[in-house]
Amino acid sequence: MKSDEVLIRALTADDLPSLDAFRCSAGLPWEDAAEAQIRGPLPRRYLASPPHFDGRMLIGTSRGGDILVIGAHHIEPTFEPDVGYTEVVAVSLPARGQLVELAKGREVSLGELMLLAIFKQMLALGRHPRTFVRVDRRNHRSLALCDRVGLTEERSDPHTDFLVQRWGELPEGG
Amino acid sequence: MTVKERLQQVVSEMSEEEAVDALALVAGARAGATPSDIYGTAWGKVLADLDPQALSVTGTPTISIPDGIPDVQ
Repeated sequence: MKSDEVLIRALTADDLPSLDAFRCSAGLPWEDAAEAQIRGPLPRRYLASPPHFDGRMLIGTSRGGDILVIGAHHIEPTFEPDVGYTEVVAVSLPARGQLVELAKGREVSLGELMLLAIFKQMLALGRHPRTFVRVDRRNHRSLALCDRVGLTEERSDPHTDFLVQRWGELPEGG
Repeated sequence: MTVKERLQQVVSEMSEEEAVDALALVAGARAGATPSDIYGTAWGKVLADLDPQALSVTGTPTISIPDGIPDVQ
């Protein structure tokens, strides 16, 4: 599909019924955990985000309105400027494997498209140049996605051993 | 069986994803109005104890935004 066939917009309360039935897990534990969050508390958390966290959940849909991919990011607000943290990106199970054609024939996955759209929004919002995600160590699919988008610097997570942090640096001014 | 012993038994029988959910619930309850992320870490505390080096800007971006990435509507 072409990139202009994927519409990326902010979450609204009207999305909750569709998200209650969202499926992104093929049965792996970290996928099950993400799916349970997306079908449960995650969107409600972002709809009710306290302003100082500037929580933003994004919905990527087809032109027909089907949810293809979701993403969510907020800021860790004790730094100057605020550091953008991408909490989750998840591709719907029926859309998994679909590629999106960008300019010059480059193709990206839907997960890559969402992460790059999040980074583009972070740039527009003036976030800290350094940005990060947390990933289950066993989640090779997401770690490969991190490699593709430039989240290449791996750090241990101070809170838990089963996660790693992946850091990258945004381009100056986009 | 005491409450503590009962809890120990429940925790020992949890799968990893159930433990993640339980951690999120406990973290959310403890944090009051502060949300927690999908791993149960309170927003605003995710970078606690971070190596300051992680925030050192090198001036050499690792991320580039290719043409055609849509803006958020």
